[in-house]
Amino acid sequence: MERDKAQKLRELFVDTTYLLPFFQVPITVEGFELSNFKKLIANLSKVHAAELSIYETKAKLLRLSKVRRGYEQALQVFGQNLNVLRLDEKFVFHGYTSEADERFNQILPSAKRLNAFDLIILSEAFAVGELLTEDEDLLTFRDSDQFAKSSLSKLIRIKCWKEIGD
Amino acid sequence: MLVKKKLELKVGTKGEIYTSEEIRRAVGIEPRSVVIAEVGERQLILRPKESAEHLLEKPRFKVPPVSPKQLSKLRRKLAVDLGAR
Repeated sequence: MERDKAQKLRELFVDTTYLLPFFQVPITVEGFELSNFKKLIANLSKVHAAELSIYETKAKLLRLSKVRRGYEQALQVFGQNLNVLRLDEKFVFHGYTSEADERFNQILPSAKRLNAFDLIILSEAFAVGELLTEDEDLLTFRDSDQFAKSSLSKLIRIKCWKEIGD
Repeated sequence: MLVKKKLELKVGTKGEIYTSEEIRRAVGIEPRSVVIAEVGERQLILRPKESAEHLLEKPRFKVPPVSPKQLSKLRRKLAVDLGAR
């Protein structure tokens, strides 16, 4: 199954959820297994993510560390793991560009429920054309009539883990 | 850095430094991979270059796994915080 997934995808833009495994933080996503994720990453030529997702990951770990034990360790070694990602040629971190901002402004009128993180990450993902996300608001937006009817829907595929082989 | 072993390695006529399979295996350097060289005053430290895939092999922290629901909620809160400041 995973081989099929990998063969269909050469490049993928991942939302913040999928950066967490690189920071040694376990996630619970329906059907997700770390071994399968590793195979997928190994078979991709490029993995794209937003620079914003790095800040978001750190901020989320900080929040989690205030309510649960154990996340302090993830915060401590965050920089080391980040350094590995930054040095890996397979990883491409996207800054916010004028092209992304143009997409942002196109999406905004039909996406009032999306927050700034959703909008920025989605806008940047247009550069790749395929976004892997588990964000509830982004997936709701994807399933909305407004998005389906808009010309933007033809320019990007928004998928969650269980759909990635489709 | 904790030094576990000191070895003598040969340097070739063109300056190449020869290691052994035993050494490469012990430190995780694979053929055709890339190493990081840290150069100091009269010293050279070589270590394998880690990749993103290596990070996925590292042990997970003993924390409750985070769900998409929690992550979406955290994102909304962070967005509100940013907007409020």
